[in-house]
Amino acid sequence: MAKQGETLNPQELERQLDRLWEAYRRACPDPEPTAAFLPGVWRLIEKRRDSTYSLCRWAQALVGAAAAVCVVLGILLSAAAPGPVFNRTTYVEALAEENSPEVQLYASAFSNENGSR
Amino acid sequence: MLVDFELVERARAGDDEAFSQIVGAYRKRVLGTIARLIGRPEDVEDVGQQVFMRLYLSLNQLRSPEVFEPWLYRLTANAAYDYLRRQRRRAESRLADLSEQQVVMADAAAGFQRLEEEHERARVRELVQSLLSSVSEEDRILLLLKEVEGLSLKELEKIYHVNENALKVRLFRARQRVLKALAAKQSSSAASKATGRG
Repeated sequence: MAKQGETLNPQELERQLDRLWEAYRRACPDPEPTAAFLPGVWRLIEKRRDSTYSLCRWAQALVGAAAAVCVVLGILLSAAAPGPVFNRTTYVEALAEENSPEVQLYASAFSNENGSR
Repeated sequence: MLVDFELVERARAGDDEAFSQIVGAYRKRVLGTIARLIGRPEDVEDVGQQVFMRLYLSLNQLRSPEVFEPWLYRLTANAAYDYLRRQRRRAESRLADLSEQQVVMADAAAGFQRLEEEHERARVRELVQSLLSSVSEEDRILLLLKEVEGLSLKELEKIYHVNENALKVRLFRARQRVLKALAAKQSSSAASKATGRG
């Protein structure tokens, strides 16, 4: 390496940087892994698996609860709301109601009134 | 490749024993790369374990065993990047502590000669780390993979999925910044020397 304090031209600076990279590589040799390295990797994997598993279980529980709430709400709504008008009486009942004496009376009264005018 | 394709295939299929063999084959290389990328020996194993954990969880995304090594480099670069980001967020520079700690360790382990060597290595590490602080974490990793790890542009292309020209531009700019930092460092040390003499 050039001595510090010297004024360097760009080429020399480039060469110095290249030498510095080499020195850095030598200063950071491949470290020897400790015996705890592989068990540590598996511990991390297990930890991640557990957290994923518990997340899945929470998600499943949440979906189940949401489905149950939907069913309960559906039942409640169908029980509370009145059914449609056409379902309340049968066809025969509706026809009989149409021809009831009361309706006939009103109908004849209405037609008489129109005839007198 | 340090392992054969069949072992990678077995690990992909969920064979834990095969995965352990892969870890055994690659751990030293991965730890060495991490050591040079992050420059903090005491955290190398933790980051290395993160790399292999991510490898295990992402093996099913590997397209084919042929791209295993670029994939592993990519995971290593990503883990180093995450580590450097976290360090920056902590906003603390403990490089001085590090060198001191290493000097103490070396002192305990060996004699004066070894201490001197370790001191010199720590000085080089500190110098390079301070120069690299002039570039972003992404460029720092890219530059180290090229200049220190010795990866070719073709290999970097496979790791980054970026075309060669774009990589060349990024590398050139990052190198220029580091050169500028080196020149500034030298001129400041020259100035301080001159002041000391005066």
